[in-house]
Amino acid sequence: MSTRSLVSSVTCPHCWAEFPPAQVRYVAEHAALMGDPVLGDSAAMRFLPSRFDARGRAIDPFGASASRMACMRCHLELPPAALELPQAIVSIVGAPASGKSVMLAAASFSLRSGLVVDGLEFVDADPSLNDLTLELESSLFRSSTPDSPAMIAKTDLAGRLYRSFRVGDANWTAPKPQLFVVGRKGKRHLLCLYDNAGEHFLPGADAPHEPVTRHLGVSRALVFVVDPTQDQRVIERLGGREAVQAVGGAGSIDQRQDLILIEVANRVRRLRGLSAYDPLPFRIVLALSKADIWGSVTDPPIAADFGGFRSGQSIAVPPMEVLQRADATCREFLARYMPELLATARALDPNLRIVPFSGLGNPPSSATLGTRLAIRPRDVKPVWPAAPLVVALSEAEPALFPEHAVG
Amino acid sequence: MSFEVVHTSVVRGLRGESGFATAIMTRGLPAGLESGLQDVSGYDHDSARAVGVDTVEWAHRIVTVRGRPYTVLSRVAPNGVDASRRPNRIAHHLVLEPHERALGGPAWMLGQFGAFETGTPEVTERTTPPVLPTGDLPVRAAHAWSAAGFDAGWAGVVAQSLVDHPQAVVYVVLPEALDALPLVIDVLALMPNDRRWHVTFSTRPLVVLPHVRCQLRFVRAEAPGLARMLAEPGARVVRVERDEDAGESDAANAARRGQTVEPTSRPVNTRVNPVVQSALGSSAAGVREQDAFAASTRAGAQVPAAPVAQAERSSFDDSIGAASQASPGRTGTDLVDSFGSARDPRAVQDVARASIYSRSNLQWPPIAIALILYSGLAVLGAVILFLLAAFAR
Ligand SMILES: Nc1nc2c(ncn2[C@@H]2O[C@H](COP(=O)(O)OP(=O)(O)OP(=O)(O)O)[C@@H](O)[C@H]2O)c(=O)[nH]1
Ligand SMILES: [Mg+2]
Repeated sequence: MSTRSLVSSVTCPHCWAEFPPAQVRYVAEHAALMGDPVLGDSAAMRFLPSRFDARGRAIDPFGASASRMACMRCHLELPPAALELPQAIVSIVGAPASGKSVMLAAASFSLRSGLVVDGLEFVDADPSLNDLTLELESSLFRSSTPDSPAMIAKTDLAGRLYRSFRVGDANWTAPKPQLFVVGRKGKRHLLCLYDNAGEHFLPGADAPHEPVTRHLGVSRALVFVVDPTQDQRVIERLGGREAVQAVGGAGSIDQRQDLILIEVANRVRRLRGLSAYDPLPFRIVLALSKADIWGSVTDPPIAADFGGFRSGQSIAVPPMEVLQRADATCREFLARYMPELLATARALDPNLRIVPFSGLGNPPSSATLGTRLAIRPRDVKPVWPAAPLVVALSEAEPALFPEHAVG
Repeated sequence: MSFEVVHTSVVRGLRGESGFATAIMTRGLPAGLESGLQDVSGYDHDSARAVGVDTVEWAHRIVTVRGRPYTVLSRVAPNGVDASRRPNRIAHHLVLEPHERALGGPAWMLGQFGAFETGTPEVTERTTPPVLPTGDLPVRAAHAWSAAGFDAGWAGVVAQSLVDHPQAVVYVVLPEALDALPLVIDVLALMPNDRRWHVTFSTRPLVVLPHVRCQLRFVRAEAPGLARMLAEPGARVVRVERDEDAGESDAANAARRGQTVEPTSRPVNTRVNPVVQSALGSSAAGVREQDAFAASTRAGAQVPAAPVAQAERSSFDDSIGAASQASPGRTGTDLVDSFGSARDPRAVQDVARASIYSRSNLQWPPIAIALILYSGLAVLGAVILFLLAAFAR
């Protein structure tokens, strides 16, 4: 008989409640046990088991064996890995249209390939729960129609990306987590990511019963996606708003991304009960997106060859010295064009790290001015798409990626 | 007073935020309702993935916010591209007071309201409520169904499901994408006026939310994951095919001829009346809902087919409100029926969840015996006390 070792405390990736594994609920399997007080009539009943069969599966009130588990608070389903592996929640944050969804899709797609970091194991904790990432990936990175232009949709504030549940008298809405088992050098973690809409991070957007960004209260690392092409000074340097918009940059307005970073830092401190002067409990990684657009104006121009990684293995995470050179180049670029963002990030975390990347590798285009931007999946050639995530993980769990951790 | 909210991706919303935001709102919108309406503003642009049958979502829903149910009529549709050059969508919601519900029904009202925003509007807070259509839609043959290439009788079959199972989710599976609002108008036209507003619906359902009521869902036969959705316990499914006749039931014939679809009288099992104590539905709301629907179902043919008078509508409003507050709860009649029907798996579940049973015909003897025993004991106690007092003196 096999044995399972459980973590001492489970953090639910849906509602972020913490509870001992003994409190985990099971999902009834008997067809008649439909309806749950927290999830509604169309969900199977959740129960705290008191009987188990010889194989350790719970027995539901009508005698069927139940093996699917759920959170004791929100009753949403948990993959077994949530009880067995330590969790690494990484918060991906950024302004609307900064490139978060493209990064998530490009990173998960390339991490699966095994070509990103030597010896890395990266698998879906439960493919049925990770449908969102799989869909994002299939629209651009593993498309069945590689010659038909496509693009990842704007992340909506409602709909399939969210789960609702009822606790007490209130309805709660939370983003659907995407869960992966990440293993390397004998260590395994449950990586948990969310595809938030940029609007969620705008100052004043934190609604009490829509805890869409509450992962900031438990995450182990913060990837702040900065889109330099949304800054007016960069836009001017690149030839004006229209020119930048035509290749996928510029967003919708001149976005104060430093204010979003301050808002996020405030939420982190508030959710964790930290004082306004306490250092943030994790490293900040500034992920500079769309480097294919602005990478030509850095000194030296990093878009030219990404430290020799542009061609061939562009999805691989480069060695530490290449990353450090890129970090220095980007620091100089930010100091010149977006000094207040760099100053804010430095004040929050003096040891912050900066990683440039391009989720698409090539600019999208549109048939006519003012219409939808799209790119042929065949032309998508991401450059360092997983580097921000790997750097963030190396800071949170140095044992996984010792060669990418600083100090 | 009615309210309207328009939600879409704008450069600067009502509160200065960019991206998806409230673009238009009537001043004085009740607290919490703006975010409640945002929950039903989503749109999936992927036509292969979308479950709904229509490109536009036309919906009548009861959205419960902070314990209060609101009648919401919505139109959610694609809206070109936004400033980031990605597909945009626009959701326009009308929040109605009970007295503003037109006799013609919610689908008719959606069809008649001519002021839905279809392109990105000027961002503004409106001080006057939207001008809502009023009027009635007389019962008539289901011409929109015939025009769409279906037997008109199907509208009657759908109406029958709604009338007979007011609390069950009803899926209408259509062979391909089409303009579904005229089909809903036809279905509701076959129902008595006082039933039309009991029917919540969506022509492009996206997600099921615990605080949002949406009973009638129009879906595509090709939709991914459809089988799992239709397997939802208690759900009624009407599969409509182009070359298939809807049969010769009274309801199908009523839809072909333009007559009201009446509830099928069903035997009511009065032996056991379970009172389900579920954390989902507040018991008070559950009882009101149960009473309202049970009464109207039992009344059967006595339900007036003529337009309901204003005075009659208040109890009808209450029952709609109560039904929504009870969340996805069920009616007493449904429970009683399901006890009688061994095929309905919910019957068994209700046995499991029922925590109080009132056996009406078994209640009297135990109560009477207990009363006699207690009064006997009380008299005996009083005599002993009296004797003790006398003895002490
Ligand atoms: N040239 C270029 N354009 C990109 C790249 N990544 C994203 N874009 C463009 O930026 C747009 C926004 O990217 P998304 O990933 O959807 O942005 P997001 O941060 O998820 O935005 P929200 O969902 O609104 O929060 C895309 O539609 C593309 O047009 C890139 O690597 N290169
Ligand atoms: Mg997005």
